[in-house]
Amino acid sequence: MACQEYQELISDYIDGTLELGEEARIERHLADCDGCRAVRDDLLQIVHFSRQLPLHTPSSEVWTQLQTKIAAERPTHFGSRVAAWVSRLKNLELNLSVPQLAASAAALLIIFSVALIISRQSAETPSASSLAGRSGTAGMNLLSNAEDQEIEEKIERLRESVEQRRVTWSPELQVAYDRSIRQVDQCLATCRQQLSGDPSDQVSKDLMRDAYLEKQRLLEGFTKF
Amino acid sequence: MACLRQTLEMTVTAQSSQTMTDLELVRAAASGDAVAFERIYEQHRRRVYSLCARMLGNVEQAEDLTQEVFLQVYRKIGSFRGDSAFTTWLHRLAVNQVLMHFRKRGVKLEHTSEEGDFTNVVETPLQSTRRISMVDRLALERAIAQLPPGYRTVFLLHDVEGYEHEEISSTLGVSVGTSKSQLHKARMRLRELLSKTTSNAGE
Amino acid sequence: MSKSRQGFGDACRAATAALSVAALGASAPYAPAVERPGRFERSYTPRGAAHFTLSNVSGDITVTAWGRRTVSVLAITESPAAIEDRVVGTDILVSVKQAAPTIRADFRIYVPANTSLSLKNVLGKINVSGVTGDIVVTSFESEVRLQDVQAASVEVRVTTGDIYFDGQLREGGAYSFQSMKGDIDLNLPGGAAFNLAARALSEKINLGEFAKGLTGVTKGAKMVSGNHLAGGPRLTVTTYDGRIVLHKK
Repeated sequence: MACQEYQELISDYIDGTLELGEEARIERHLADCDGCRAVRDDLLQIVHFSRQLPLHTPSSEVWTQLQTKIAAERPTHFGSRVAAWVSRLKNLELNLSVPQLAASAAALLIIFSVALIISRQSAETPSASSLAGRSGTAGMNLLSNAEDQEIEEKIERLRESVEQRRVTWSPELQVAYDRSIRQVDQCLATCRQQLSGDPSDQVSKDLMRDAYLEKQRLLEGFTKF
Repeated sequence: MACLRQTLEMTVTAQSSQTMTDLELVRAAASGDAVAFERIYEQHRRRVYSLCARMLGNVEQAEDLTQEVFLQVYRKIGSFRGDSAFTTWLHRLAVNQVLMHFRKRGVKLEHTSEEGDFTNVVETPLQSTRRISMVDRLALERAIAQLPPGYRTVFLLHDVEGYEHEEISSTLGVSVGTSKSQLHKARMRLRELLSKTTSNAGE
Repeated sequence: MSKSRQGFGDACRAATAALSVAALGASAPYAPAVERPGRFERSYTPRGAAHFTLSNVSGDITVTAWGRRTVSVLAITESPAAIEDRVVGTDILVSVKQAAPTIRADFRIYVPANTSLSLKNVLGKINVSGVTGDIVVTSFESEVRLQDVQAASVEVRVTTGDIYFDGQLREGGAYSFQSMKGDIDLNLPGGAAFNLAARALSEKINLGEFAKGLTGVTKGAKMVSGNHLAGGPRLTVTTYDGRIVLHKK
C-alpha cells in the first residue's frame, strides 16, 4: 500500500475504528515512515486541541430578545403588546447599528473575517419588504413620530398598571420609582432632542431604543411589587 | 413573569444527582418557573452558542439561532421525558436548528471533490520536520471557519461535540462511510491550513 | 460464601438507598443557623459550582469570594422572617419579600470564587469582589462596584448609579455595563485585548492609555468602538448621563 492509502486510514486509526489486522499493518508502516508519522502526530494534535476549544459567550442581547419573544407568546395582556412592539423594533434595526454589531461580534468576528467562506455569507440584510409599508424613505426614518406615539402608548399602559399598585408601596419605594422613571424620561427626552437636530443620528436612535427598553425593564421590575 | 398553565408529565427514572438537578430545573421551567428557565439558559447558552457560531461562521446568525434554539426549548420543554440527559436533548435541538438553517439557505453539506480538494497528501521526509503549532487556539478556530460547510459540520460534531459516526450519519442523512471520510478530509485540510499559519509568522 | 455475598449485596443496596435519599432530599444541603433577632443567617454547601440569586429591595449587598466551599449568607434586617431561601440543586435563591413599609436588609455574602451571581436590588450599594463565575447585577438606584473580578460574563444594568469594574477579561467573554445616570469606570490590565463599543450620550468617553492600541476605530460625538490589541472579549458600555473612563491597571 502506498503512503497515500495509509494516510487515508490515519483518522480511523486515531479514532480506534480500524479492524485489528488493519491497525497492526498501519502501525508497522508508521514505524518506518516519517512522513506518515508526521501526519498522525499532527492529526492527533488537531483532535486533542479541538476538544479543548473555549466556550464563547453570546451577548446579553440574546437573552433580552429571547425574553421579549417569550413574552409575546405568553397570554398576558401587557406583556405581549409591549413585547411584540419591542421585537418588531429589534427586527427592523438589526442591520443598522454598525458600532452595535461591531461590539456584539467577539473575537469570533475577527476569526471568521479571515475565512473566505465567511466573507461570502452575508449577514441578514433587511428585505425591501420588511421596510416597505413604512414611510417611503429607505429605512432611515424608523422612529418616525407616528411610531414614537405608538411605543409611548404601549409603555403608558404598562405604566398605568404599575401606578395602580404604587399606592400600596412604602414611601421609600415610591420615591425610588418616581426618581427612576423621571431619569429614564429625561434620557428619552435628550435622545429625542438630539434626533430632532439630526434625524440620521444612528447612535441617538439606538440609545433611544435602549432607553425605551430600560423603561420597560423598570416598569416590569416594579410590577412585581 | 406570569405562570404558564401547562400540565407536566415526567417519567422519573433513576438518575445521578447531577441529572436530578437538571430534571428538577426542567420540571420547574416546564411548569412556568421563569427563574428555572433563566437558569437553564445560563447553564447551556455558551455551549449552544459556541456550536452555532462555529457551524455558521457568523456571529450575528449564531446569536439569532441561539435565540431560536432556546425559544424551541421554551416551547417544547413540557415534552422532555427525561429518558435521555437534558443536555443531549438540548444539543440535538441545537444541531437540528443549524441544519434547518443550512437547508433554508441552500447550503450544501455534501462535499464532492472540487477545487481546493488537495490531491497530494504524501509527505516527504523533508516536510515531516515541519510541525503545526497548536499553541495558538485562535489559529485553530480560524482554520475551522475556513473549512467547507460539509467538512466543518462533520468535524465539529465529531471532534468538538463528541458525536459518534453513527449519530452523525443519522443526523445528517449520510452513510457512516461518508461521515468518516468527511472527517478525515476535514482534519487533513485543517492540517494544511495550520501549517500555512505557522510559516506565516506574525499573522 | 453465598452468605457473605448476600451481606455485601445488602450493604450495597442500603448504601445506594441512603445516597438516593440524600440526593432526593437536598442536593445542596444547608444548615440553618439559630435565628437571632435582626439577623438572617444561612450556610450552604453546594455540590459543584453554585449559582447564587439574590432579590433584594432596599439595602446594601456585598459579595466576597473566599477559599471555603460553602456559601455563607448573613442579612442584617429588622425582619428576618421576610427573607426566603430556596435551594434547587446547585442553585441558591434568596429573596426579600416586598412589604410596606419597605423592609431593609443589608447582605454580607461569602461565596466560593467560581460561584455565579445574579443580584437584583432596587435601592442600595452592590459590591462584588474576587468572583470568577458569571455576574449579573440589575438594579434601579445602586452604586455598583465589582473588584478583582475574573468572570467570563458580566452584565450590570442600573437606572441610576455609578459603575466601577476592576478585573480581568476572559477570552470569549462578554461584559456589558449600562447606566442611565452614572459614571462608568473600568480598570483593566494594560495588555487586555477586547472589542469595545462605548456610548455616552451627554459626556466624554475617556479611553486613557487604551486609546493607543485601538484599531478599527469608529468614532463619533457620542460613541467609540474598536478593537484593543487583537480584539477579543466584548466590552459594551453605555451611559446616558455620565462619563466613561478606562483606566489601566
